[in-house]
Amino acid sequence: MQFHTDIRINRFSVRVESDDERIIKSLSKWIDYGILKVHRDKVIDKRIFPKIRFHSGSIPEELAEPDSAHLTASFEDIDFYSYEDYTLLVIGGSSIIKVEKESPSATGYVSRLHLESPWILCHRIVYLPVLEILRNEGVYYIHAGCVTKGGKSVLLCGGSGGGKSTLTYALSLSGFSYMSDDAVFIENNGGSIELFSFPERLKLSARSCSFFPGFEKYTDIAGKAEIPVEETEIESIAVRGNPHALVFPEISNAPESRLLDFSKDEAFLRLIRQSISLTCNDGIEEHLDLLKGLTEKSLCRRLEFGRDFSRLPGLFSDGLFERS
Amino acid sequence: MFKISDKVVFRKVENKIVLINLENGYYYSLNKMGGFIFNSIRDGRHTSNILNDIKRDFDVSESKAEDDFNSFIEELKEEAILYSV
Repeated sequence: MQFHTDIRINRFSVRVESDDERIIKSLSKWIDYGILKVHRDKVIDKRIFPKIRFHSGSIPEELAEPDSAHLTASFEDIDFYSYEDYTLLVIGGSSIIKVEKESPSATGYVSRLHLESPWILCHRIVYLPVLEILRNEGVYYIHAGCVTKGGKSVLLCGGSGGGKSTLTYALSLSGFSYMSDDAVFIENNGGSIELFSFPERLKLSARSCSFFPGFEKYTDIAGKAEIPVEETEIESIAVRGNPHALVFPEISNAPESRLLDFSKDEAFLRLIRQSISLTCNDGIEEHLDLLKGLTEKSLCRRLEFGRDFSRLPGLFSDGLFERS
Repeated sequence: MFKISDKVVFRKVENKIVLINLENGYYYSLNKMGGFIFNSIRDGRHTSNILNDIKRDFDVSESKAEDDFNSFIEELKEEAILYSV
């Protein structure tokens, strides 16, 4: 007997199936806890419908001990193995996901331990295979915040703790449409580069929450608060945009923030660092071409992120957009 | 003669060439002279021709051109970006 549930990751609806009801129940439990989002009647991209099928029982012999000659990358607790027809993700040494290269599907074997870990289940067991599937379909991930004005998108690129989410939210309160504070996708849409996201929630540290009225209740939490967009003051969201500017924020203690010119080759290098995971070399040429096109098409700026928080929206409007 | 590893992908953006070594995941940005040498090797040009062009286009002495070329090649070899053929 087959059980299934549909969840949503960014703008993609993902079908998760299993012959083991416990797996679906575990996923459903985390859906109930709000960790995974239930498929709702919002904007869903119907071109790609990733399917992941989890099996109970032992891992088949041919997958249980991957050949180290096929190991392409190791990242924290995950090892990536690339074969001609599929990529193998070995998670924490005990769960294995096989992602097909020719179809938007994956099959997985999840350890009992991982079933009880919401973070591993969501971010490793489900989310990573979906990113692999999307990449196989020509849709690539960029780790960046994004706001849009008049269809022109500004990507805010930087590592964790670099002020992306705070800046994204501040801009979204002042005339920019919110796209994402953390994950944007890029694709070639009929010859032009397009960015898209699912503007669903934003993650702010307790300190960042203290900057914004209405977020006082989040200032005591450890880690980052995940705040649904509906609970924010964001008035306008956008799901698609055209590349316009790449901004690399660097937090400084200066009294005034400044937008400074930034060389395109350095911007390109940083985008690569933040976007390309070398888990599998398939698609890397297309991914590089998209990032190169994105860089060449965009204004590139470095932001000295000073203490004049309220001036930032004006600085972005004046510095990145022509006055109308 | 040298050959670029087939595990290296690259793109030119503005005046610089950005390389990624897929073998180890390292990224590199080459300056103008580095980019010139890299492209010349890609084109299969002989070392003596590359050195002549460096002397002429970058206005450096023969010994300086040779030193710069050799140290750059050694670095690329150490990083497994190219190898001798």
